[in-house]
Amino acid sequence: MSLVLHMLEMGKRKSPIHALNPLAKMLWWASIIIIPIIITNPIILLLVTFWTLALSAIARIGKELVRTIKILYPLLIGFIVIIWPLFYPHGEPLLQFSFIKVTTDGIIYALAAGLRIVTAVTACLFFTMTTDIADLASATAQFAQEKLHVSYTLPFLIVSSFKFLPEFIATYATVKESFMSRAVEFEKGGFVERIRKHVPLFIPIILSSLEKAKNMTIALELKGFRAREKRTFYKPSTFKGRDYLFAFSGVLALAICLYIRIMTNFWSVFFWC
Amino acid sequence: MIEVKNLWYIYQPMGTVALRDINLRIEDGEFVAIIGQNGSGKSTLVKHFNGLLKPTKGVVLVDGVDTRKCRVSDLARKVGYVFQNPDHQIFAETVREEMEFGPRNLGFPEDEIKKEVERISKKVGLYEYLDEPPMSLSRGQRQVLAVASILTMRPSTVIVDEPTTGLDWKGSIEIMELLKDLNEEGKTIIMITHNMRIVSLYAKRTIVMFKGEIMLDGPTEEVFSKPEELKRAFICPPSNYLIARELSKYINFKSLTIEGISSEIIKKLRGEAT
Repeated sequence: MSLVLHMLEMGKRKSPIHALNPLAKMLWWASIIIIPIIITNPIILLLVTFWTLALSAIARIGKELVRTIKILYPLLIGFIVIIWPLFYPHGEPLLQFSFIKVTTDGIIYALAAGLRIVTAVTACLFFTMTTDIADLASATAQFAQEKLHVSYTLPFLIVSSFKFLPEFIATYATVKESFMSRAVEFEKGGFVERIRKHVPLFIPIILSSLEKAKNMTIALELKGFRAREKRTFYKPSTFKGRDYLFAFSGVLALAICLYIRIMTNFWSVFFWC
Repeated sequence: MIEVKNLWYIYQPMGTVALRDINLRIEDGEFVAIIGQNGSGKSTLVKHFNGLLKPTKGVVLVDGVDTRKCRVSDLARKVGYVFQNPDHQIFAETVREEMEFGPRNLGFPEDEIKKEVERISKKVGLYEYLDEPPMSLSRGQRQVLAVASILTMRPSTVIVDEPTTGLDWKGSIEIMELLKDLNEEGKTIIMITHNMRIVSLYAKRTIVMFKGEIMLDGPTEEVFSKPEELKRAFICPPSNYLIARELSKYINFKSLTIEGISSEIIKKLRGEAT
């Protein structure tokens, strides 16, 4: 939980990447995470991952990103590489236990699948660590009001839930610690037992969330929420040349990958991927 | 007794160093205040005392037992931790159930739990509310309930994180008097607070933390008599200490409590020797 909070805090740092419009970064991120869905070629996936890591260095989050990667990737890749080959039927078998067959193709496919996850997760970490949620919320709301002509209330409802996320995570962590201090052992027992132990946590968490929502409603009323149909923004979100360039670079990378996927299967590890 | 030896704590994965080479010994029966600005490492330090956090480097011993080798539930028998916001722990339908929760988790016999709940509730003034829903209590009473829910587990040390936050002066004094009583009964009290007046009134020993290190540690009067060092930690001592310091050129104060300072000033004004 503290990992998520730290990552969200990092979005508030200052760097050329942090200074980009949050919507430009979101468009870049949305493009990049589609690439591992349509492409399985390890060279392209590695190039995209290194590109993201290079951008992280510019954003001065490289050290923290690598630290997070060191924890997450062994878990993700380890799980995929161990589990996937057991259920992959194609190719020459290397080992066989009853109906479970480990093949060379299965191992290669598992590694490729692991790399796809790595590419997508790296892009997600990069986006989270370089984007302030409050700025993203404000920019999205402004975009919805000005370009899509949607009332501010609707995007506000959606984005305020994102704003609540860090607070919700922090409350969960505190409530859990307070229960642990009263000798609740969350790690002990079977799956159902563990779920049962978590049930009482929801009462203080929900009550605390309701209290926050009530306070927010009062604050909104006091600040004249919906006093005017169109509202102004504390930090107006503008798209500059660098924002267009950044978003375009992501879309272009996706377009190239789409072209490769459609025009040739040569680059794919397997035709059926 | 709590003993901390060369304790370092680093929050992972970001590598934030929260505690740097802390050495500390808290004897049984002490009343200790831990003060310092936000982010100075106060809560990180005390969370080591009941095992919620395990040292990155160094050792924390509770009654001679290394906390790295114990579960939080084992340490909960010895060290109780009352969180800042009582509403973060209250979940039960009645005050009674809330107070029974901890000892039941520890496996105390049911008849013993019942007796203990009644004894503690009488002591803290919640006996008549035992069958009431906790949320119908005032904020001050809920804070008392949070302490009472820990006391039913019979810990020898009670840690209270900002016990007076959100309470008026009357509520603050009530909860502090309860802690004082517990201390007089022999329990060790460790309190985190930003209220310097409360510290000067109740804590016998004060530890000042700054940027993950212990800056000052000693009897409360002695610590508050060092305003220059406290200023570096962004702490302002209570006004009685500042007044005593300003007047120290003229009066030799034997005690720095409000009563002590007042009596010395009155003596001086009457022309009696100080």
